[in-house]
Amino acid sequence: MSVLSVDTRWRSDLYQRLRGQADPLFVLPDCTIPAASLWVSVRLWVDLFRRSGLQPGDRVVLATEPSVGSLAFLLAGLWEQLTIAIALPYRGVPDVLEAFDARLGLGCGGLDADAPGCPVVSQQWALRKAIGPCTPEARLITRTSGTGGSPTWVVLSDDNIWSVIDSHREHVAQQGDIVLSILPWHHSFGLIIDLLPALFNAGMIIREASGGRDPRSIIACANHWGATYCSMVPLQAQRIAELPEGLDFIRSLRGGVVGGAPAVGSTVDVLSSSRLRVGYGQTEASPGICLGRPGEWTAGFIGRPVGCTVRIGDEGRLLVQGPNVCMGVWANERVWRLNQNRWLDTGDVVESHRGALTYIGRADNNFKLGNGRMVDAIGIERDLRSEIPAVEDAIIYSPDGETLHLCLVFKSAGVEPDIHAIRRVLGSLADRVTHVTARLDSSSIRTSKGSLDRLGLAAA
Amino acid sequence: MTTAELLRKRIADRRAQTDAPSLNLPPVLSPVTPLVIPPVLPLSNHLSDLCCSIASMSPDQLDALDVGVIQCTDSGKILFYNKAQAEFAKRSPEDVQGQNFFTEVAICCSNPLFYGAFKRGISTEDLDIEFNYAFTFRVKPTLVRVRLYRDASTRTNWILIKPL
Repeated sequence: MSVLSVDTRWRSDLYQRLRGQADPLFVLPDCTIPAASLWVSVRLWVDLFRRSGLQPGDRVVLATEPSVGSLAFLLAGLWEQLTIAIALPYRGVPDVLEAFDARLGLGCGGLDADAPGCPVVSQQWALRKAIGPCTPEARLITRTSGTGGSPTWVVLSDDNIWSVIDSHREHVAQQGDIVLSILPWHHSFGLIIDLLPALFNAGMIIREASGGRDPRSIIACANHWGATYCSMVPLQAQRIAELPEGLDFIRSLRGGVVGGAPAVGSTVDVLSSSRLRVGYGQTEASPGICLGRPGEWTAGFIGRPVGCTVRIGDEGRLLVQGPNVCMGVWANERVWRLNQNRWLDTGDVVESHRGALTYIGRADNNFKLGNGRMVDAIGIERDLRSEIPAVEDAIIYSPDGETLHLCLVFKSAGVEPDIHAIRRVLGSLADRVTHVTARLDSSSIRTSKGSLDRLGLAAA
Repeated sequence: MTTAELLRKRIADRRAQTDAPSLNLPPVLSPVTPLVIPPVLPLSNHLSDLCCSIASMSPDQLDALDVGVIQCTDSGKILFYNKAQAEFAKRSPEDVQGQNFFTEVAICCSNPLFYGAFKRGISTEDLDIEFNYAFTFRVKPTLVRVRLYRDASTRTNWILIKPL
């Protein structure tokens, strides 16, 4: 670990890693570029920032798909200690600069990059004047996925980011690894757990052409380049494993982190036979909280804390404290600083067994009926899974505050719901159940990361 | 607010959050552009034609080409460096003559894709591969088409570089 302050670590580490170096070699759909050439692209962006008079803490927006240009822009922003808002979902929105009170943005207002990542400035481009003050301690502004509640814009400091890179470094991509990148770069998992460690360690980084959406393309790309490392979300693992060559590919990998949603059912079996490890975290924790060991998988297992302290609070909620806990949030056009020593409430209910944590559910999935009775949905769903072995997953919800609907996802076909077991688990609540839906394939009711789309299902 | 209303509100909120981001911005999702990675491209006619005759060309003829041409030994030592390549790279042919292309002149090529392909081709006596690459010419990264070619009859190795 470097003894440099975080202010200078970006410069020190990027300089050593990129300048004049043949690797890492970046293979993107639009360009294959060695570190040395990427370094020059980064310098061209740094020159543009300086010519534009940007100061540390000036906000800039990154709103392009993964490309050499977006990577060079990001690294130049880190080099210059700018505050970079990762706003890909808003690409093309005219007021995205206003939303972050930003001076400029890649993919915004006529500023773009060519294939090797160099700045391309159109005639209509103009530097925007910021209204609010600079935010020099804020390095990244990135959006939460929203699966755990309302999506918010989280502000990460250099300390936040480096704490996770350093604590995860020995467990992620290593020297010589050929990394297949299939996670979105605009999400903290893809950026901080996958891309940046790979940039500092790996030999090659290959951006898969479909961006992780097409399992056939993922396997073909991995086989062509001989990928040794690949991080993914459980749904990607599941879809890859469903293809004839998929299991061989997953088992061939030397390493990779699977996170973003708990792995359940057959995905657990697939991952148990691999050297991939579970990763757990939230964007608010930069986003690294836990890691498992290679091949260590059980349903809902999320690993052990890495680089932070955890404790289990009321209702089994997982609380996190440490340098990975985000410095603040971005709202109403300003950074709201939060106490760095606070305990971050993840909102996730977990169980601990000798320090190894298992995800049970979201605390806010419990609800009250109209008569005031609290329904422990998480507990009921857990009991349904354990009492009825054929059930892979279960969701209980109330559409009207009076009646209950139950959705059961079965592991295999030809299994009838065991009504007696259901009644046993639900107790007196069983009388309120008016609908029981049985499903075999859960993929249509899962989010893009692989967790159950509870509210979407309830709304359907 | 009843529980049912709460649930409906949560669902509506969730949908709104999923579809429309916070900050009151309209939802503009990035289009999915299916691209095909061309790690090893079809051999180009221009460079293929050149490969057929390159081993028999004189230094003057090689210097007249608008394609960068480097001839090197099996270990990568530069035997010839034409004018076009000297112009692209801002290096004089005299300076680089005798130096190793991969470890002394163009270190950015010393990776599994470029040098790895070269070494594999030499060891199998079958070097004929073409790919796109980003060189840094004139202090700016430039996309180029690279052809690595070994002429079997003369046992000479050629690196052809054509800016795109």
